[in-house]
Amino acid sequence: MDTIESGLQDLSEIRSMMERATKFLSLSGLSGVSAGIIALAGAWLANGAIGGTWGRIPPGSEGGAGAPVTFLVCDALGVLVLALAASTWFSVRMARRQGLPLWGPTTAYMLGALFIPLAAGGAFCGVLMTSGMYALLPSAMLVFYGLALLGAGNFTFSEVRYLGAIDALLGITAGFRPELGLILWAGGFGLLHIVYGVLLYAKHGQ
Amino acid sequence: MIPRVSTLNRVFDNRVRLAVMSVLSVRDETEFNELKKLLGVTDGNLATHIAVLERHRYLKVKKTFRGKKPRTAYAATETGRRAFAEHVAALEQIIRGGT
Repeated sequence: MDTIESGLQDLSEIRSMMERATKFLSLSGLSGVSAGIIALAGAWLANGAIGGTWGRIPPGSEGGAGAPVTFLVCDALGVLVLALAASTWFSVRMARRQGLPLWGPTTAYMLGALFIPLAAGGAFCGVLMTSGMYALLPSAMLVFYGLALLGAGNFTFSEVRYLGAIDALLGITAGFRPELGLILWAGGFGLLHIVYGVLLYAKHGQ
Repeated sequence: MIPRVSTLNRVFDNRVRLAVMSVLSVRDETEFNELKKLLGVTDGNLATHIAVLERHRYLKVKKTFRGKKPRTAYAATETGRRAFAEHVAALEQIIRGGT
């Protein structure tokens, strides 16, 4: 019947407008893939710096023969900056193609949900480092990043929440088994991002 | 309890007006330019339909200044929210074969 047909159409239109109005829908799958590749490269560099065993990150002794702390910190920050730049670039491109506004309340909600826990995590990593607990850094990064994604997932594709939950669990595992920290970090930030990026790309395009 | 029969609201016959109310129903307030981009319509078209919704008191206009630039934002009124919710309920009823 015609009325049922047009009623269905109206309802799906309403639903899609509500989603556009509350969610950031320009998160590109390619953002995930590029962030994952960058993270894997960073993990590979870090592994080289701690002796190539993929083992426990040794406690650092400032300026001494311990962990090359400065290198690891620069490596981690480099991964963060490059991954952010790449995902921003792909999201801007996707927003243009969709004709959606890039900056609006939805973007602000999403970024707020993402960066507030992330900043707390960064500060906490600083706390760990001043106590010399370098082996726990992968765990802390994964847990805080996972929580950040769990929150941000409310304001973008909801699949992102599962990625967050898995990362948080990997982080807790890494806390109990610090000798697996770097491997789990590479899995959570590298491999999972690539897998998720491909899935998002397949489902939402661009 | 007597089941309430919701009826379709003629004001929402129009796609643009329906879309505007969909956005406003899940938002505190939304600026003109953002609405325009979300809906993908022209200035004139959007302005016309917003005027209709305003005449029915389904939305209210908030004009403020950000620095020297005028900023126009819209928010759904209580009347508008109720009317929209009833319209959605009526649509759902039709689909379930209620009418």
